[in-house]
Amino acid sequence: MDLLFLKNLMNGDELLVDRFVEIFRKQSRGQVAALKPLLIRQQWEELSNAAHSLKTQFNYLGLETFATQVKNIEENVDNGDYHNLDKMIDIFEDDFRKFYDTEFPC
Amino acid sequence: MDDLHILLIDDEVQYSELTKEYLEMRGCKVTLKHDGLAGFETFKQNQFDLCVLDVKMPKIDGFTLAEEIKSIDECVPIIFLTGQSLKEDKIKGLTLGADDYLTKPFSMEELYLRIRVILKRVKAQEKTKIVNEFKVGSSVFNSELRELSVLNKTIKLTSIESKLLTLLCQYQNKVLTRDIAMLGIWGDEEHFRGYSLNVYVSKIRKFLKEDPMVEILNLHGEGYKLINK
Repeated sequence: MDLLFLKNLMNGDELLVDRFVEIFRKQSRGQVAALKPLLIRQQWEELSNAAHSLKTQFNYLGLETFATQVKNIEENVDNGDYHNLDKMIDIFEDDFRKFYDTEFPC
Repeated sequence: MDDLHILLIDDEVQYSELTKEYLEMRGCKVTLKHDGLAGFETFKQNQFDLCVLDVKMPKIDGFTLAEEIKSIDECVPIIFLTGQSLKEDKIKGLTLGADDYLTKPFSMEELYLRIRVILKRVKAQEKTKIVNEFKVGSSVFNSELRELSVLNKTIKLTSIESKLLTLLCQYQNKVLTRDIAMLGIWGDEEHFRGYSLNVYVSKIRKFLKEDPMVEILNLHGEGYKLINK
């Protein structure tokens, strides 16, 4: 995570940065886990919104690779291109899980 | 910036709280809503100096919401927040009358500074443009001359009638609360004014009764709403 970038966006306010990261720690895992069920239920709008929300968070934290992965998921959904989504989400979930466990160990 | 009231509509529930707190720390009053429908209802019930709208939201997207808002108040400044950086989106937003456009991730301070710049510009425009003529349904009201023209018939209004109709016009399609009306007309909100206010509203309603395109609603316990049909 690039916290210096986030700190600049928050006008140097460390408290805001900490709160941002804490929100991310608490909600991102659940949001990532929600992608697959949305795909299975073919809730395309919700899936697009969920990917969009994650993309924004990753961009704030300078996590560009993840941002690109969810951007591709979002774009595929918006374009009605559904056949690769299952694989794309699997790869993203796996990468994210590794990152999350390293960044926020229990 | 103490008196500025900003409507922030963003479906990112937790993160938008941070934006709200930052703007409040800088002296703005911020009302935060998390979807377009709730945001639009709030807009209709209150006066805002500026709206900050997320583009991608469930129920109503930011662009559609901006159109709805502009249909009620075409002068209120709008800033769009978006995760997209597509040129087409930017163009669409600006075509809809947005005053500015910020792509996420954005700096909180940049948002605040842009709000300040826009409001400074709006205030400067207001200074040079004093509105004294209002279109009410098919009728026209000139507050400076205190004249109301309904179906080619001109009615001369008293000072209080004119002040009341001006307020109703300024709050067109929105709620004009009794407190604001009394303050605007008499400079206070004493309870004994309530009866007089009802009488003056009835008079204005009577003046406009020949015009089918306009209606003044009584909102029990709240105030009045002038509807331009």
